[in-house]
Amino acid sequence: MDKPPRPLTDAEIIAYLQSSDDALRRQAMYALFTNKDLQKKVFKYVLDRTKDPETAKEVFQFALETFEKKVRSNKYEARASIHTYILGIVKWHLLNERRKQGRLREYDPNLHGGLDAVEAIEYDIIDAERLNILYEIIAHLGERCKTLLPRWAQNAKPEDIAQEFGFSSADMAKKETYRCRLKLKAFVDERPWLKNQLKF
Amino acid sequence: MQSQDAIDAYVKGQLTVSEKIQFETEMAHDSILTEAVAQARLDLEVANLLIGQEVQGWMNDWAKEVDWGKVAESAALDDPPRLSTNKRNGVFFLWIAAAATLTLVLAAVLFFQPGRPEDEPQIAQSDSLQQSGQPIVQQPDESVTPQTNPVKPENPADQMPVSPPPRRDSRYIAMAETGFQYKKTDSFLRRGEAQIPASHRDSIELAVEALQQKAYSRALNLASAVPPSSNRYADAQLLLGQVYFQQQQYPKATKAFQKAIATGKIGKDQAQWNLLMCLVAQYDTRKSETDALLQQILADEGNPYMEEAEKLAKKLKE
Repeated sequence: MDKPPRPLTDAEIIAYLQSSDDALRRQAMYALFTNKDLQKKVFKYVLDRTKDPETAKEVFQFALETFEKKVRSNKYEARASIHTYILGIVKWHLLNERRKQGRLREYDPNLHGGLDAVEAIEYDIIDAERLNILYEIIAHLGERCKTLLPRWAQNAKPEDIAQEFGFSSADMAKKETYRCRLKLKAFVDERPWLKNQLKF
Repeated sequence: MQSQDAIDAYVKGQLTVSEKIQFETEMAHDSILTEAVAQARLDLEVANLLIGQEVQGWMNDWAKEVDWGKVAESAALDDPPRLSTNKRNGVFFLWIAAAATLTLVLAAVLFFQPGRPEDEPQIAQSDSLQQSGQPIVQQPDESVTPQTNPVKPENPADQMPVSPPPRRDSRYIAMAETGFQYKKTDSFLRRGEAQIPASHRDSIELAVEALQQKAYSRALNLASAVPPSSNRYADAQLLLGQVYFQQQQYPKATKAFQKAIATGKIGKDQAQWNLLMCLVAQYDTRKSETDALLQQILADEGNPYMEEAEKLAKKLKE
């Protein structure tokens, strides 16, 4: 019988998430998503405060998504374990939600408890209007560009992109990626009002 | 002017501190470079959103493998947070004090109690028990299922019971799914949509397009992005309600239908009926709300769902 796979270390998870290899990124996210200890920690924290399992599930996914984004964009600093960091995102998210609802007292021990140890974790929330515009842009990109642009953002080597997409050379891969970016630029240039809305 | 590679490296945060300073100095005097940077930032933002969607898609798939009810249960049964050292010390001294007081009281009672016959008490007590027909040792009641006692939280703020994970009864879900009235996704398009050029489609139309491609998370994001101030908000909520219901996310579907009805800008009957179906699917935990809404529909003369409501009321009583 095969041995169960060894759990990934924190350093491996970070390295996998920063890599441009889709399989590794997926493996790291799966390891976090199915980690029972992490699930339990997040659920306990959220349920103690909101009593709503559905919210706990949403917050768990949101925290993992935010964490992945932080690591991918090199904004993650390993000052604590990954679990502590993710729990920090959960705590700040719940605080922000309270703040938005205008229900945050200056010091709420129920929410602030234990937060001192975790540094403020800022996460970028795209407002609904901006998100709307970005989705419109995406809708007009075409399927190939929708897969090429993420590869560019992940710093995938042009040689690898060429192989994945069946381009004849690395130069062709670069050209195709650039063409997608020009397509995106043209969409915005044809709609000058979008530049204002996107605060260009 | 910097090369595209340098611009990309700048927006991706890959320049060294000195390179970054030099780049920004140049950018301060070059409006074309500033615009190129803004465009590269937008490219990256779009690409990151696409990656985020992909990650969301993975998680939505994996979420089906996880028994969230169990996760919530194990979290709820987990040890309550430990008291701080100061509090623990305080509690320790309280126990010591209580034990000392109890010892003193017992000693005083034993010292002052009058003498009594030595052979009477225990035999008399056991006789009386046997005469009353009760066994001396209580037998376990086999009809009662053993249950673990809930863990009492120590923190007063935690004393509200943690709601148990919703247990879903497949019978109610089947009733809800049979009764739910799906709107054709095309009906969410504005009239004459065929003539609307692709570039002028609104979020809901893009969401419908995403639904047709089975890109559910994109569709949900698009529909959720419609603000309450939009005249398409009610439609967006109806669409969200329908998609959430389809995905068996009943609490979210409930909220969406409630928001749609609250706008007062839609024909209420179908939305109200679908809201009822969302509640029926959660009948175990939302019985009173379901019954109240059902009664409201039954009392509404001429409601097109009257017949279905009567049948449903009978089924729920069975």
